[in-house]
Amino acid sequence: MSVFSKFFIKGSHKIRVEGIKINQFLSDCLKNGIPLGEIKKKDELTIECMVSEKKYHALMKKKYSNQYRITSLKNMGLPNLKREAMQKKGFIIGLLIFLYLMYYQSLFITEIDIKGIDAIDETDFRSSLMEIGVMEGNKKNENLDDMKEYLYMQYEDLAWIGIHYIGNKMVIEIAEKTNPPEIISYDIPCDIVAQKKGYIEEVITKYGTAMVEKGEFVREGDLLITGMVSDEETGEIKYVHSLGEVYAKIIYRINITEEKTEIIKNETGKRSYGLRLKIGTLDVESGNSNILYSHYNRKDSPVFDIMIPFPMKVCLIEYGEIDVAYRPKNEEEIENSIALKVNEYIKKNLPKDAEILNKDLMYEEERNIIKISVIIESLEQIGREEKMIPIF
Amino acid sequence: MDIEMDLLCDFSINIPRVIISGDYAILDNVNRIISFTDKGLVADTGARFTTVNGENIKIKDLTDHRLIVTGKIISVEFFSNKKGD
Repeated sequence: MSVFSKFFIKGSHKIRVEGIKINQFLSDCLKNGIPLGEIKKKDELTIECMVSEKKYHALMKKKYSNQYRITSLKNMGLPNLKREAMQKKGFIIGLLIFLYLMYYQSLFITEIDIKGIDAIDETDFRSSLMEIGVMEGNKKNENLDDMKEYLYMQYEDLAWIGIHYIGNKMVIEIAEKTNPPEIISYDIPCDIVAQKKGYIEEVITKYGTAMVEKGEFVREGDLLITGMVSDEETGEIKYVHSLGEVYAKIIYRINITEEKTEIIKNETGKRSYGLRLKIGTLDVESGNSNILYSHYNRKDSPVFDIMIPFPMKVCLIEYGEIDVAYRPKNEEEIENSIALKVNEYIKKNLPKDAEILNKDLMYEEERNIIKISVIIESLEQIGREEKMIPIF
Repeated sequence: MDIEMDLLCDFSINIPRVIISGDYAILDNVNRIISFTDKGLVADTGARFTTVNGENIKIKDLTDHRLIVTGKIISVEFFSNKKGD
């Protein structure tokens, strides 16, 4: 039997034994089978040791109590803990209620985070979730597969959906489908229509009849090449799958603003601090009234951030004073900045195969701002196949 | 070690048997404790007395003719008993 089970599980007393023949006491215990532990000699007449609860009573009853003075210093072990716990019923009940409440509140959803949603309307998506009982404040849905199946049924545009919990927060990750361009089979008659407005530059017709000429202005959806052709000899009308490329000059107009001066922020080194406490939707900040700086940088450093048992965040806010200075930009800097903005626009909005024909910039100065109107002319293929409905 | 010595070590209850490992010493066949201080311990182990010397000596466990001694053990000595053998 280990010392742990002997003294802890079954309970023990830490005792002090005082007497003249203290070594005799140890020998007697050895002889009479009274196990002792952690024996430490305090002085010539005193020892301190551990004795099991059962043997402690035997020790007190026997003749030892007459020969030695035995004092219980401490009651230890599991039975003693049990006794103490029974004496503190209120505390134990409170602790159990607290643990139960902790467990109970962990069964509910406090927040739903939807990631990757773009084409699908988020409000509509949340409404769909509410229909199956998934909303903030409701119990957690353990059967996530059923939930996924329901969402796949509801939204055809969903390519993938992943649902998991982080504490009481439900995280829904979505990947939406990207629709490929419609490919029309060669044996199906079709027209070629404009997908953008612009001025026609070149029409290359392989099958079908061109309906537009160079210099003509077309709008989105206008017919460019028709699949309806008539036989020159018989006059019979045939419907063919139009093939061809239509190039048009597309004009883009954008307005850019550029400041004449650059703001330079230098830290002065002065700092002030505040605290921010966020519990659920409650957000309290201290220190706003203490800020004496007219210009400052704010930095939030989370000190405490938990989701369980409830979303709670404590942040240390550091306000660093900054000195704001204005420096006039030179002509080259302004030109570079504008060129960068124009290139960003082109990269974002123009197709990769577009050819830039011309760029016109018109400047207009207004106080500290320069307004720039940019006109970009590009050559793009604007033809798109569209199924035709033959007229009989 | 021949078989006779092996059996003697395992089953004899009248000779001292000591196992030392680091700061632990296990003394078997202890009949009486003659002296015990934090500097050492003398125990009657049948045919001989066994002395454990050291610093901060404590008896971790005392049960069934066995002592478990802890502390910084410096030496272990055996002395002849009162019969003088």
